Amino acid sequence: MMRSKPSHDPASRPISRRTLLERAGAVGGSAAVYQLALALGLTPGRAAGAPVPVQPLAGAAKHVVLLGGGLSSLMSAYELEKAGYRCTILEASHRIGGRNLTLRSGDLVDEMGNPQTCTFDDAPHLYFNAGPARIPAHHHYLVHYCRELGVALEPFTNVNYNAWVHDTEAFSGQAVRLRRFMADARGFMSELTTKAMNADVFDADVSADDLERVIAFINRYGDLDRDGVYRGSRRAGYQQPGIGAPTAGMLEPGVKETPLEFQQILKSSFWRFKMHFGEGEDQAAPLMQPVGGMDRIVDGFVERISSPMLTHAQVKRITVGEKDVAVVYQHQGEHHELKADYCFNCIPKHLLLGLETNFPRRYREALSAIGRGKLYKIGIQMSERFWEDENIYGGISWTNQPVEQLWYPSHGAHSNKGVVLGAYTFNPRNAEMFARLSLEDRFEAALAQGEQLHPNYRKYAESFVSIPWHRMNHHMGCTARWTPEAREQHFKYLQQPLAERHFFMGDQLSYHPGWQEGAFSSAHNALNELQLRVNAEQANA
Amino acid sequence: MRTRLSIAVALGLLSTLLAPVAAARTTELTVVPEPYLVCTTCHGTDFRGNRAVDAPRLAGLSEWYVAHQMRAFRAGWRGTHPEDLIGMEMHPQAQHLSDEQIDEVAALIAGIAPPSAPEATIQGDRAAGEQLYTACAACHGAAGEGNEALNAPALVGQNDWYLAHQLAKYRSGARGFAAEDQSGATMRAATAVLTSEADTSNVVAYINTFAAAPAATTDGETSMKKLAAVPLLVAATAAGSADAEVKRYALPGSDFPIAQAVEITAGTTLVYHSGMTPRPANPEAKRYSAEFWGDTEAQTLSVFARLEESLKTKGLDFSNVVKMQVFLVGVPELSGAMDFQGMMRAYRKYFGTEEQPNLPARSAFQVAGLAAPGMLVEIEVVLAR
Repeated sequence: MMRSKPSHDPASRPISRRTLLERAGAVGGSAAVYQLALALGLTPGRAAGAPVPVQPLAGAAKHVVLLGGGLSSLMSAYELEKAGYRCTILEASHRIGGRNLTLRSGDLVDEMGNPQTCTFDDAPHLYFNAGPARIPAHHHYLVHYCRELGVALEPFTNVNYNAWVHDTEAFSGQAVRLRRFMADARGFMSELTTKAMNADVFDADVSADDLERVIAFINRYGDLDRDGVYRGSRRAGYQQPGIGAPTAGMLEPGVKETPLEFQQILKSSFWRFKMHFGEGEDQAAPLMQPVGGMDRIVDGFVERISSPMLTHAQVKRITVGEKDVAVVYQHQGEHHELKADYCFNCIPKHLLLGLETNFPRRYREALSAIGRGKLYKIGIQMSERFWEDENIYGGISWTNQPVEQLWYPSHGAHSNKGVVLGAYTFNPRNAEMFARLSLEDRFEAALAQGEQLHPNYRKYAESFVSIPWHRMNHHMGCTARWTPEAREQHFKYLQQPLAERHFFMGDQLSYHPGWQEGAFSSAHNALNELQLRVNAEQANA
Repeated sequence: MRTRLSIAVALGLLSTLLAPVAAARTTELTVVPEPYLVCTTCHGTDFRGNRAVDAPRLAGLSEWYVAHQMRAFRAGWRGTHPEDLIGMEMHPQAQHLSDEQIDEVAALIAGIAPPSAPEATIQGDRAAGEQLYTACAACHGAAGEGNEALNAPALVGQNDWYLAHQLAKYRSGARGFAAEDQSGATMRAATAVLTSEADTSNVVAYINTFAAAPAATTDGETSMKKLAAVPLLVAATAAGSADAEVKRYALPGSDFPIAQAVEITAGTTLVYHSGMTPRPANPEAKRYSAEFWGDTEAQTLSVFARLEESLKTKGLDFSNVVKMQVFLVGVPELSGAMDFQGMMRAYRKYFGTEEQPNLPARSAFQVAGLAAPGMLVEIEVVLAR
């Protein structure tokens, strides 16, 4: 960076951060110093990922009504209460937490037209995270609140090299170990690349030394032999003689698996997306999960929020006025009207559009431009942890069948029974297909597809819960779908409060819909926008 | 204090009145019995419909029709065809309902009147649609009012996108496929006249003309103040203000049959009627020809006749008209100028007569063209009740 020439004018001299803070204090008082210090990252005590705190309210208490009991509302209410705001949360469904949903014995699955009760055994490890299930370690707010709320975390296994890859179009429909597929696919691809490199593809642009290094890199990447040929790799795993025999490679040299046929690898669709899935920005290790279920985070907020949180409170009308926001809701067979200074709203945009509001056309158009994601999960209680006999602990097996994924619990190893995720698809066509099936047919479909990977799958399956998020009462959708055009036209607009009072938020108003961090980030943005309004109001008072 | 405010002033003062208005309107919403609250997750507040989840407006439908369709969904002669993906979402909803519950929910829905017509979302050639609609009118009525005796539901006030979906389903056989569904079979036969998607859009666009323009439609830059205007006017009417009054100022020194100005006091409900265009004078003639439409006078008479039918369904007539805009296209006989006198001859039959002396404030314009070729007259009116 270029430095400007030293000047004799003291005012234009570069100033130290300390001087800057002193000058800010002279103009704006200690609050200004604090804010500036925060902005400069100087104030100690703010943990990484902690949101910039809402400033304590000066003067009369302000009332914020929060529509929808999802995570963005819970986080907002928690922070607002700390700063002295009065809050009310209105939630239409029977529970607080939104799509952060952990199902246990006796829980209601409030699906439209298909209400179900979870019939899992009552045991701490027999739960199913039907909504979010992973906590990437770099999701700052999420990790921050887990720490602050005392939610214990444990590792979550996402990628499991011992899990299965199944493709009806390859390997005669036989499942192969993920490690084998990965090692062999890389090996053959590296071999091909090496051959191409030796044919002078780089012309003269690469030095001989560099060329040697590139080839060596590719050899190691694919575990090729000295001739640059792939002849199988230990990475693919040794041939295991059997459960009773010593582990292969311990008492005698291991025998490498015969490489899979390269043509079959190419035929499989696994490498198109799933093989690299675990390297995604949010999918790569380390990942975590709360001990005992994802809704421990909800519990943590609920325990600490003292404001009223009404369930079964269905909002019918939102009137954004000049001085307040009026909300009419039905609760216990009666209408109630609540007026608040501000409204934080995480109701799914597609349901919000069905309410009577005085939103301007532009606002409604923006809400209408966001698509509705469809996602389906099924959780199955298994009488035995048969996957552990296959050396699988946690992680995902993949199939090209509509169920797409099988997840094995990352917790409760060697305990009695376990809950397996028996289907997880965000392909809207598959999700719609499952949703249209009767409950019995959904279970049957999951078993018929699961037994393609685990022969005795059906035998162990005891009970199940299925969650088509686009058919769940008060949700009717999962991950918000934004087109680039809708982002361009509407995202920033919706981030601004309507008439300075109505704050639309939630994971739906983030670049990361479907992730809890998206909800927290959006709530953080809403809190900052609110702070700006409150500051302005107090300055004008 | 007696409030006599012009509309313009009333708009300016609304913001201060906003809070009481909202409170007053709370009573207008329907408390939905808890077992049926689930319906409003998709169909929206007071069953007004929500396109974002493909849930049509139910408010405004007849009790018999709602009950009939709920039974159809329950029995599976609606909402089970593999191509009827939206209908299939209703099938499980209805399956758990008893006859009594179906009757109860139908009565609940029939008791709710929507505050305004749904927003038109489909554009089409309304004149062409009107031609096609003649086949529909036999059962659904000339103004889409429906006919229980013929199992024909009301079409007026329905979401146009929903009507278009249903017409497409009848055409493809995704609706009306079951042997038990006799009226569905009738509809499948009837939709044979729709030979293209354009036909569907045209007939739906025509059906849209039955309903009054939505009161709450606002443009993108509308301030929150303006938004509040509609609720206030509605609320004031509900309160039945005794001060409501329409004062018509005569044109000074002239017997020309229009008012110089019309003053409306607060507490009067205003109805904005969309522009109305004529029916063809001779539908057998070559489409869009001069013979097909008739001259300016004939077209104006046709517009007023149609307007009269529409007003009647809303409990209004020409005496309620307070403001009128007349749009005329020039004619070759007058070297491209508008036939103002032709329009006036027709106008005088409806306004300034012994039976109907009320005169509106009025403007007339020559425009370059209207929705269909050859169309010479379009008239829109604002009414006060």
